Amino acid sequence: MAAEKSRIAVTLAASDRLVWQGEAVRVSVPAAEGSMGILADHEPVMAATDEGTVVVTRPDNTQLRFEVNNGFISFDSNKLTIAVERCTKEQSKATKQEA
Amino acid sequence: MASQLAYKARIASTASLEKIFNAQEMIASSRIAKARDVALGAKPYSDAIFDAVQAMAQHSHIVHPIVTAESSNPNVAVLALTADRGMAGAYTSSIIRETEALLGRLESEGKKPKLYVYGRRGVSYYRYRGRDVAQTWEGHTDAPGVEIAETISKTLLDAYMTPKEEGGVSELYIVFTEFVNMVVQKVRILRMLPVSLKRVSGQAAQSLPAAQPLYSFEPSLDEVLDRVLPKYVQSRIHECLLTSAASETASRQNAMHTATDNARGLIDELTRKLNATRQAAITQELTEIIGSADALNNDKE
Repeated sequence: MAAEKSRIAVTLAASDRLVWQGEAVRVSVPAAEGSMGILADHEPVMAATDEGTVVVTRPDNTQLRFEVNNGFISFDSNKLTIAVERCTKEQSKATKQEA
Repeated sequence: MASQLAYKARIASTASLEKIFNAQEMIASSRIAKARDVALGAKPYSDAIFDAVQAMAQHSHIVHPIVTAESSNPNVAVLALTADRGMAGAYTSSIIRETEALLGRLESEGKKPKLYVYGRRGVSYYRYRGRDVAQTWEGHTDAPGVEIAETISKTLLDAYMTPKEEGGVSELYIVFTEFVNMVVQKVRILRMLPVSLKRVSGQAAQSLPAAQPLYSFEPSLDEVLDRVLPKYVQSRIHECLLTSAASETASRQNAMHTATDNARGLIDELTRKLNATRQAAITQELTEIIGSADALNNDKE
């Protein structure tokens, strides 16, 4: 597994549209009790999220940031669904960052 | 027989009506695309919520006020989804008819229904008759966004969560029009609250994988339920609004199509009558001329 890193299929849906869908190696979500990082093969979890920033690290190490308000996430067999009321701002432009 | 001028005036006015109907029909068909976009945009979100609620229902026995009914409270809420504008055939009137039937049925069961109305036509119907309406909303019935769904579900959930003594309600019914296809739309009554999660059993349960993942909940199951269930209700209400909007547009297009056809038929008929009248007038003039010429000739002989 080390050679081929597991990936997470992410779906970020706002209540009126699909915001983003794609693969990621790491996702950090603003869970109700502090920021929560999710890597592949995380245990199945359902969490309430608060207002904050969702940071998606893509396989090529670029990062996407989404400003969201409250919602919830559900993660199960490397599928992550983030459902939020509104995604107010999105920085779709990839910003290169150190891994 | 009416005069030619009268026929010409009627043909002209019918022709201009026909143009209006035709334009309305085209507007309606162009709006269908917009309504479809709104509906498709909301789908990923409502799917996510639906899946989450199903997973939770599988996971544990849910105890939450949104799921369990408080049967001692006779107050119930009824939300009727009507159109903002007319020219949609029987769209609003069938909703009103069903709503009235539902209100009567609830009252005969000893319940006290409170009426909520969405759509200008329904609002003016009840206002004109001086009926008690708990709350009304207007605007964007042909492409309802998330905002209106949010406002409506918040009001209704608030009413649902209010204790009986303060005028809260124990059930919520929605009267809406289901979009079957462009030609068929059906008025449906849905009990939205308390939410029934029984649909998991039966066919749906068989299609689910045998081993359901055991979710852990952050921060706790109750907190997640508190978060997800109101959103579930909101997205279900939004779904109702969207299918009603599609039905409204479709029935407006149908009504306008019929009206256009009817106007064209009328114009044809009137034109035929106009021609007959003109022909009759010409014949009459000829007869008069021939008659008088004959008379003159007879005089000479």
